[in-house]
Amino acid sequence: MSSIIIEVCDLDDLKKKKSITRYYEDLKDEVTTYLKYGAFTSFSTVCPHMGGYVSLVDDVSEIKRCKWHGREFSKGGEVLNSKAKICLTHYETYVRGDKVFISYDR
Amino acid sequence: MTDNILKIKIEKTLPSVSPEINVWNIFDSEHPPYMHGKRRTGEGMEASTILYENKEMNISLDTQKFPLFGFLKYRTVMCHVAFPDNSVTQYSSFFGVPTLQKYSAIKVDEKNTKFTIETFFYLTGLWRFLRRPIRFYVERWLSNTWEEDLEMKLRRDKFIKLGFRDMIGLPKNIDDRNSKNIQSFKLPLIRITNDGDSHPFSIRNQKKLFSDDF
Repeated sequence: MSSIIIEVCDLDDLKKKKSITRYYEDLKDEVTTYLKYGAFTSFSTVCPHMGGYVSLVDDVSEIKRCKWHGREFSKGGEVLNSKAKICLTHYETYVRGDKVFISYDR
Repeated sequence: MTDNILKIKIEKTLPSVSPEINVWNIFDSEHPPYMHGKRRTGEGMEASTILYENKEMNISLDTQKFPLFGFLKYRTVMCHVAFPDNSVTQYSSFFGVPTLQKYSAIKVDEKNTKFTIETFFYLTGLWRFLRRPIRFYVERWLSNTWEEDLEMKLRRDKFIKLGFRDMIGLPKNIDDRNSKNIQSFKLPLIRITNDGDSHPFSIRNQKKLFSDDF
């Protein structure tokens, strides 16, 4: 299995903006990357329910919520307010030098 | 009879959006409180409870908020019927005034899809003198609703064309994120809230009402 590695931004940029949301053509997904308590997280903004826009709504618990239907997802991507078995995609995120990258197994 | 009818029509063109999005948007009963319920002027949609649905229609009980006095609400029964040409007809009432709406979407060429919303009010008695305020209110309502739905239509269309599937998401394999595996459109849509099922008039609960024990 091969991995795809994508450069997100400069580390300083992410520190300044706190989060960066962008559509990646190579990944064919829209991803938000954020830095919290020294850890980097990247998640797909595409809600697995119907494709709505998911964003971070709680800085402390790192809960994400879909704008269209209010579905909420935990820090790890598990759905919180529904019995439906849906999960938000997360991407491995890391820093090399002064750049932030995400990687994904194709 | 035509003197009693007030017609309001709006037309919009979007770049290369699938006409099926029109049907999906109207039959998605779970988005109104989130996408149409937070207008600055107070009015908007609060909830849409499905009472009955099948492969081509649904009947819902909708709660809407008054302009300026958002705490005042009114309820109306709505019936949506989908047609094979991706149009939807909506039967409803506006404070007792019968209304008919038709939402159409057609591909005008390879690059453009035209969306048309036609609304008809059957005005009798004193309602006939309220044509102007009704037109003003409804044109504003339709315009706000269109704007709020626009990002949904464009985003949904974009990801459906990348192989997105409801309740699953984008394909795990990036190579499968393409337009070869577009999900087939089917009604009724999958719902993940059960508000409608708890209503006593919901098709699932009617047995209790019609039983001799009730």
